[in-house]
Amino acid sequence: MKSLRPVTMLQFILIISSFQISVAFLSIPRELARHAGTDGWMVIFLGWGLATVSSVVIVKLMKHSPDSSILELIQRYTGVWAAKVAAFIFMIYYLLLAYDGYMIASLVIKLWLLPSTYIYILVLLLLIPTFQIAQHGFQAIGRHSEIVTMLSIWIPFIYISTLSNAHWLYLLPILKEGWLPILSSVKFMIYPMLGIGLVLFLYPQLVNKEKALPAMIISNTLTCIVYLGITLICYVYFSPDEIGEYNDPVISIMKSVEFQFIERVEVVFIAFYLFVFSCIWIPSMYLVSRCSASLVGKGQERYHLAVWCIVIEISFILYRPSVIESTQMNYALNYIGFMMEFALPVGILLYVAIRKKMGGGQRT
Amino acid sequence: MDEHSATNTKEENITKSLNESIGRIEEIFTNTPDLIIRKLCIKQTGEPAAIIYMEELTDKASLNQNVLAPLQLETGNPSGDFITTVGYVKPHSTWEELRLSIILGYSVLFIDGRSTAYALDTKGFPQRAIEDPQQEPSLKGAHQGFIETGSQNIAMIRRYIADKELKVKRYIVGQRGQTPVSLLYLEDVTQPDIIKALEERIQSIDVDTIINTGELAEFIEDQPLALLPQMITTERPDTAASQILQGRCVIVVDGSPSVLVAPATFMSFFQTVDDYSSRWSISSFLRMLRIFAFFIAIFLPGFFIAVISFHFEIIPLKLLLTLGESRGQVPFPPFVEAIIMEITLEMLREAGVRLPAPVGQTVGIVGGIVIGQAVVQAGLISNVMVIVVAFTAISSFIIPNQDMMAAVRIMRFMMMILASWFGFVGLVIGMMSFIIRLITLNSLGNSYSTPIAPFRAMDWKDTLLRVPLWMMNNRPVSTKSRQSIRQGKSRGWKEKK
Repeated sequence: MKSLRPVTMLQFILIISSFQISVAFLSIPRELARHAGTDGWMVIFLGWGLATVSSVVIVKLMKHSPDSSILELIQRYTGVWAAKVAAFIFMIYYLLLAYDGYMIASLVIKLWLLPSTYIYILVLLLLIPTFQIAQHGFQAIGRHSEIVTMLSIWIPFIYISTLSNAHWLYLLPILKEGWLPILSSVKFMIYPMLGIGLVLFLYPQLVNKEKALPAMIISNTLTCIVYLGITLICYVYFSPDEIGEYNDPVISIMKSVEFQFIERVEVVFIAFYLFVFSCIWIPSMYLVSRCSASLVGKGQERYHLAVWCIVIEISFILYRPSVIESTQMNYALNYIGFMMEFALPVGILLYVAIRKKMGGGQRT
Repeated sequence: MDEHSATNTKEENITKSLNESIGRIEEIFTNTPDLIIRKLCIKQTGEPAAIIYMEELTDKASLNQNVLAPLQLETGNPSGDFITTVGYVKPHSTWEELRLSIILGYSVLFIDGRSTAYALDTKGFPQRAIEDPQQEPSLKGAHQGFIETGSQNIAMIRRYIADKELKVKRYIVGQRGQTPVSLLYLEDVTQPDIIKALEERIQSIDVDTIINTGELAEFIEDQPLALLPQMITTERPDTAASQILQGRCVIVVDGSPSVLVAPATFMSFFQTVDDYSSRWSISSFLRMLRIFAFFIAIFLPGFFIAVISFHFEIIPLKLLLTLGESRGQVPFPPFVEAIIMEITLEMLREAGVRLPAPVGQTVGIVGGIVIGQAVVQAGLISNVMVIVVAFTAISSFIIPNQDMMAAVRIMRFMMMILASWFGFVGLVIGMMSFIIRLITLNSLGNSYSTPIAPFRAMDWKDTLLRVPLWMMNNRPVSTKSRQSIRQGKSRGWKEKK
């Protein structure tokens, strides 16, 4: 087995957080407002709790396999074919996430910046940096996340500057419809918290494995702080009735920001936001190539990556998605993601635990 | 290399007979009019002997005083052997060694009846006096620059680091050129892996000759296809010395007035020797200015094209009116306009470098008048574009390293093309590509983009800011030096009071 390049704790936190934030950041205020009304921001706490529980499960599971990823773990406990099936499932799952990322990014660009450019050309453009970096593995991806975080520091300040138009009364009354809408919209917090599943592959490369759980909790907390911030800012800016109407309230809110040297900050913001978007496709595409390499059992990961990049490009040439379809896909990913990152680790952990108790140890 | 003579001289030992030896030498060096064979008789021992040397590679005064005169005149060596007064005498027994010594400028003494010949150091070849560094002038730094003689360059570095731990490893590179290449490092500081890697790479070079450090860099760099330089070339001994003290290696190539420093990080291309001798606040400001200028130099023309052709709505109205007025008459799209100006600028710059100094002024006048005045008055190019291009050019001049500056120039054109196709999206993709290249590059196994990513808080002391020297107590983490502590508490006297 080739030696794994280590990933520092900071990189670990930022890979997960930026993966979680990247796409969901634009949609979370809209989704929460539509389904939970003005109390939607409280759902984020529940989402945090859910993700933390899942983090505990994932770390417990990965303790059984400190030096290899989930695929090798499955292979060790249930055999080659189960591992192949798992590799296939994970490949499809991350392909879906990558596709979703490309779709949302290119749709946002098309809608706001380049209305006359074909989507597949935009996707081709986005695939170039993906291919450049995804072949280098998690270490490079971690560095990428670090730089993206550093470059994005200005974004919160822009949002805070919109608070001059805030109407805090929009948040009141709290719990006007009781707890039910809040509890029932927890399912919409699954999609924004997707990303903890990366740990199933990332864990062996983490330098300080004892700190894996705290690191995951930190990154969940970081993500939730960002979500909470943007949701509250949108809630106090838009009235409760109109917020659901906007497709991208997170971008529309920027229209109120104006500087002496630059009008329409949102144009710069959207172009720049590609950096943040890239934090979801790049790890996803890397994992797709890794799973597909392990599924086929031969060939370098970079060739697999190239093939999958071409597949994605062709799929966008053949089929041009619309905004409605991307929303539908979000809903679907809520369920699929729950299966993959919340239910599946629990299942595997239970299986491994039972197996250990009954079989008296692992096969090696 | 001539295979025939190579195989012949490689193994063979020197014969005892003087005449045979001279015959052999004449056989090896055919058509070499500057090879001098001087026969003589050593007074001390009475043996017939011969001195063989290359005329123009030898310091004749030294040869006469220290070799010829003592050999022919002096007696009185109690051991009964011959007398010379040169500093360096090395016995040789094979033709291969001898051939090399003669070519490198040693004079070789053959003595009848001995199977050993002696290489005497009387080297003296044309060399330049030490001058101010041309490429990297500095305000407060030393006014000595490296010259074309490797040994002198090493001496200049040694003058800064008088430490026995400063080691010099010498390799001969090039089948024909036989260029001495020296690797300098601090034994107890530099990471052994770096030395090992460099050593391996230098030894595996198989070429005719290495004329310049740039050629060497191309052979030993990690990613030679990348646009960004991965090793620093400098012609300042003080810079080289401070890099060695930070735990890096310096490679001196004989015949080249600049040395290579490895491993390099992206940020180290923005450091100059003046940063450490000016006040810390000022040099921190200059650091940030340089990095800002770096991004301006890459992105400004592209940004301008993107704004004018795609996103004019982001410009405030008043500014937009001014821009429109200036651009109204221009018949070209902004991209063509920018390309014309940038290409003109690049041509002017290249012409300025290659032209002899007296003619060089003409370029400035022609360029100034044509670019500054005529193009705008004729309505071909807008005023604003001239300003943008001029600002870009000035920004690129601020970057202290020539290689980095060249990389910036190429990247600028790519960004302009991307911006003209996709506006800001293209620019961001270009920027992403650049950043990705940065983080995936390695210089001798060390990441190129540190301390930004991987984030190393300690190394930020000498990145955007240059904190006061007495706070930089450790060597940079990025060089993984064996001995990380650089200095103690130099300002302890303040606490005592």
